[in-house]
Amino acid sequence: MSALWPFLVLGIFSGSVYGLAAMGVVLTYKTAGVFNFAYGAVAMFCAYTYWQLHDAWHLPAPVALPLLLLVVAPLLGLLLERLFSPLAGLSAEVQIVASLAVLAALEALAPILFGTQDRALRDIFPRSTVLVGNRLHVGEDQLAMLLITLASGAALWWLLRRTRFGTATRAVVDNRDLAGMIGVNGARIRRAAWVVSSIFAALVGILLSPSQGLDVYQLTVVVIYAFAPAVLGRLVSLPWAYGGGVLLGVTQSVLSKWGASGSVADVEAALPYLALLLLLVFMGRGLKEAGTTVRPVASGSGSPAPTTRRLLDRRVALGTGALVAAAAVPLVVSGPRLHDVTAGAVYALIALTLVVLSGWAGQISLAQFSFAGVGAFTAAHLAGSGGRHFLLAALVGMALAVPLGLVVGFLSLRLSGLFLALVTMAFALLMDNLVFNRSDVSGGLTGVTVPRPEILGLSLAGRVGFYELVVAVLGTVGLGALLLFRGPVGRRLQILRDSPLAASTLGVNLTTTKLVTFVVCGAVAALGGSLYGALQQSVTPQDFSFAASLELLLLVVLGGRSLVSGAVLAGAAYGVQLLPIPAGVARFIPLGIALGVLSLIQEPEGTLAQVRRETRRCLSVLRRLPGPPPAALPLQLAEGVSGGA
Amino acid sequence: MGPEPALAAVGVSVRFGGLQALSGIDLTVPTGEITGLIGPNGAGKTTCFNVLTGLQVPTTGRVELGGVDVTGWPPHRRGRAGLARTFQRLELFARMTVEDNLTAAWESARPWAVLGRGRRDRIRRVAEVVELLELGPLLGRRAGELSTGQGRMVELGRALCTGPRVLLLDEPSSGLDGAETARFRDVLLEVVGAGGGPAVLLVEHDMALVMEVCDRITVLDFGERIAEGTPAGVRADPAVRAAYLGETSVA
Amino acid sequence: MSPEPALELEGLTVSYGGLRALSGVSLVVPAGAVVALLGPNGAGKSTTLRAVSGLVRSEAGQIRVGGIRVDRRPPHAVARLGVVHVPEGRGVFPSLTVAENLEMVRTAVAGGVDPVGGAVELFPVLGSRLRQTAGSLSGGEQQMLALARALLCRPRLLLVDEISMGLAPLVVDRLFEALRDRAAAGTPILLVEQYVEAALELADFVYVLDKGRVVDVGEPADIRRGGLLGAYLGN
Repeated sequence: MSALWPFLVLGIFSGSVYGLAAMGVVLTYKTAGVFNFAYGAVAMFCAYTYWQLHDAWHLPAPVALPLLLLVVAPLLGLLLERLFSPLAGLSAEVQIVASLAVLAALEALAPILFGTQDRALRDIFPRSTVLVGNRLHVGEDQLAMLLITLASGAALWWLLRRTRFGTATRAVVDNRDLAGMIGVNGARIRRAAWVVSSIFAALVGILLSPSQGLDVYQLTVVVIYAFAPAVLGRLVSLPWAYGGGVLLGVTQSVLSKWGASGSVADVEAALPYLALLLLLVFMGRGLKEAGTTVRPVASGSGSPAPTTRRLLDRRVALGTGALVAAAAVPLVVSGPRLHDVTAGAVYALIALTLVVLSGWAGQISLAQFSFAGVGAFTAAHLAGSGGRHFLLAALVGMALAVPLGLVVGFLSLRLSGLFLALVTMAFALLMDNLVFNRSDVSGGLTGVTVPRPEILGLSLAGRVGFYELVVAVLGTVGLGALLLFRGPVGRRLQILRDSPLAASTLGVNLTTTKLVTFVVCGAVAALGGSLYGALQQSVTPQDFSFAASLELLLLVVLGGRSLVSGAVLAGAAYGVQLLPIPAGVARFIPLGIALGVLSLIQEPEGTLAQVRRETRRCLSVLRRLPGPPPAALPLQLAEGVSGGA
Repeated sequence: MGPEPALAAVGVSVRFGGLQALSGIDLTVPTGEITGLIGPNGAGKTTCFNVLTGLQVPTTGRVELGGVDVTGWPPHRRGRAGLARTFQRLELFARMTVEDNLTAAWESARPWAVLGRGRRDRIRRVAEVVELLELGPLLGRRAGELSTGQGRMVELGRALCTGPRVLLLDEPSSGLDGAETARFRDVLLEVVGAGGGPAVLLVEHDMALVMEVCDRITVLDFGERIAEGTPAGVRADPAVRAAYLGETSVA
Repeated sequence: MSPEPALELEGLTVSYGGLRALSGVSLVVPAGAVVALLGPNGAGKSTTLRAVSGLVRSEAGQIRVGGIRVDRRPPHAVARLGVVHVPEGRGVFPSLTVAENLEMVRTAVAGGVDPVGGAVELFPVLGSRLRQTAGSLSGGEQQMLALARALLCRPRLLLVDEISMGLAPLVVDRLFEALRDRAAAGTPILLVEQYVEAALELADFVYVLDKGRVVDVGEPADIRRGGLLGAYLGN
């Protein structure tokens, strides 16, 4: 037992930071109804700001710290409140995408503002240790961590329990309407919650950065650890959130006693995601989504929906035309650029699965690249080291995706909206940590190689051959989707999205429909993954991480989440990033994508609809211009003359 | 012994924790008739409706559809067996066209229709419903853009496209003005009047409508059935008057 | 020269969730009067009260409280004019203690008030419950708490929605007694009530709503029976 002590104490220290973060997440969820996926990114951004103030501009900590906690973090909180309050009452999907876009925006903004150079972080607190009990040496920095988080938690508790402002806040959480009728200004309470939540995020960022390093992605992801404790508190209880955070830290720390490496270490890293997944599954039906009064979305740009027949013909004709044009691309593009175009086409194939899942069937997934990863690594093992035919390897990859699709499908039976997004995120992060990160799966940092196939004696190893293969697959799947969309299958998926309740009373078995959808989309994503592997010829776990799935969702929203062409646009946007763009410009692309997503958030047809609307407006303006109507004028005159005669 | 009623609830009770929402309700919905289900706020009408459609499992009692015990069946299985419903708060497939709403309804109620089977039947049935409800001008519109009155018609049409044996209507007149309610009433009578039309259960607070169209009416109050009979009989029933006006002296 | 009416609605039209709830409702609560709003389920009674409180936005028409237009103001701004609403269901904050529920009065009323003492004076039973959360009270006690809090807010207009729903007759009598006292003291009240008899007894004027329209107006004696049953049970 005594050997466990140091680990327990260490766990309490790190866990208290998770607890602080969990409280920050809970606070905005319960007062403003927004689950902030970007919480880690806010923490990261604040940590960068602090080191900028403190290390680059040499402000002493007693100046930098208040500046961060009392000025920068509150302003960031107010900005987020401004951003999210117009989305209140909109569908869960819109709010999820918004906070994911904020996450991406902050991740893109940090390197632009603060540069990408490595920073040697000076210690915030003295490194000396104090003796606790009579054996245990505890770092003063760790002690400070515990004290700061405890003090923050206690201060929040005091604020909520012992002040009139706190009573009003709890009243708003209990019953927003009633609080309003008594004279409580709900908007003020919401703003305050965002401010406090951001201050907590800033503390989390500062406390975590010395141990985690000042790394954009790492800091963002570590704070996702806090989501499990937040769910443990049913997203409303602050004490449970804090306690859950400590519990998580302790469990992780104790596990680390048994293995600094190997499978125990994997489990230790995956534990927060496993906890999140299991909590969501078992608490699933008990969780209530905040603000579920869904306002009807002004959908589809208000244009009259064209009738079935014509639309089918036009879309398929356009699709076929695009396919022919795509097949001819190697005539004009060659070399590394053709490789980039191919990559965009593979990406479009994976994006298509997300269009079907989320745009058509209304099932948000943050794990499509995990399915792609299964395909890629299967291809690597069977076709690469195993020496089997690529087609066989791709088929096995698709088959392996089936049980995983069933797993996610089952999750989607119990959970929807925000909780489905969270659980697919947990699933993706588990795949990252437990499967893709294993060196026997992915070959560690060096990755594994995938050979390009030969089909019917035709070698597709060359750039052009392989490109044509990808175009053929994308074309088949894409045209198939176009045809299915307007038929019974498309309708079956869309009614699942628009009203599962009505669909089930009309006779649709929601269980089988959802399972089949997740399985098929997962298998196609796996196929995309094996093609991606064969294209790159070498794949690493990073290619299929949760971050990749997240970027996919944003690009699909940008392209148009309910359109096949939206997937193609997503692929194009991905391909563009591969072009040799000067680094100074390239850094702004992810930021542009994130901001684009935020501006199109309510538009299911993405950029295309926006372009169409603008074009129509320009045309109507042009028509209204008093232009000279050359033929009409003489005719009218002639009529006037003849009428007068 | 007459023929089996199209739909029947036999001794249905529902408890939520300590709350007895329904106690031993008997309700029959005979073929070829419109049955009304009324009662003041909180009387248990919605719970009763949910039990019939399979969204709520009764604590005791059973539900029979055409003489078959369907108590444990999930909603979609009842849907396929000929039970169709509309919703008080519209549950249209908002981003799809009216035509697709109707077509999807037909497909939902039939096995393998999702693979394209029975296309000719489908087109005929949808056309019939479109003609009956005069939905022609709306076919190309998105359902989410319709007015409440139009939406109610589309929901009715969607239910009819499944070719139901029993049609459950949940507060169909709410949100409609006088003219729209009158039109809904005419259409409803036409639907039932046509030979082989479905049995209809109407939950409704517009008493003028209920009294006018219903053949028989069941009245709930505090989860119990307090009256059952013809419209005139129910209207004259002192227990019903007391339930609606809150008189303490029940005759 | 009569004083400004406590409340005037002029052609109020409200839709929400795609449903038209009120179409052109006009209604007056004169200063110091009690007005009952009756009608069948779904007639739009609660919506009328919610519109006055600013909880739902009106599409057309005007709402004036003491001569001041309030339709475009958020709920908290309407509340600060002295409009106090006891909503349908239980108008309490279930996770706050009884005392905290009462302390919320201080948000609405400036100056020295003793909400806890005042409430115990009105409904002594609350005195032994102050530390309990409101959610743990019985239905009747919750409604007493809601009404006590409302009355302590010194309303210049009191909106009361189905205060008797689901309660035992004895409790209903207690609540109505408190309302009657307050009405006698000159507080204007707009009352939605399913116990028609109790409402008619208290009211100076009655409006009958059906399908979002006013179908009958008059003094209780005119309204009694005939006309009302028509609205409830069909003509």
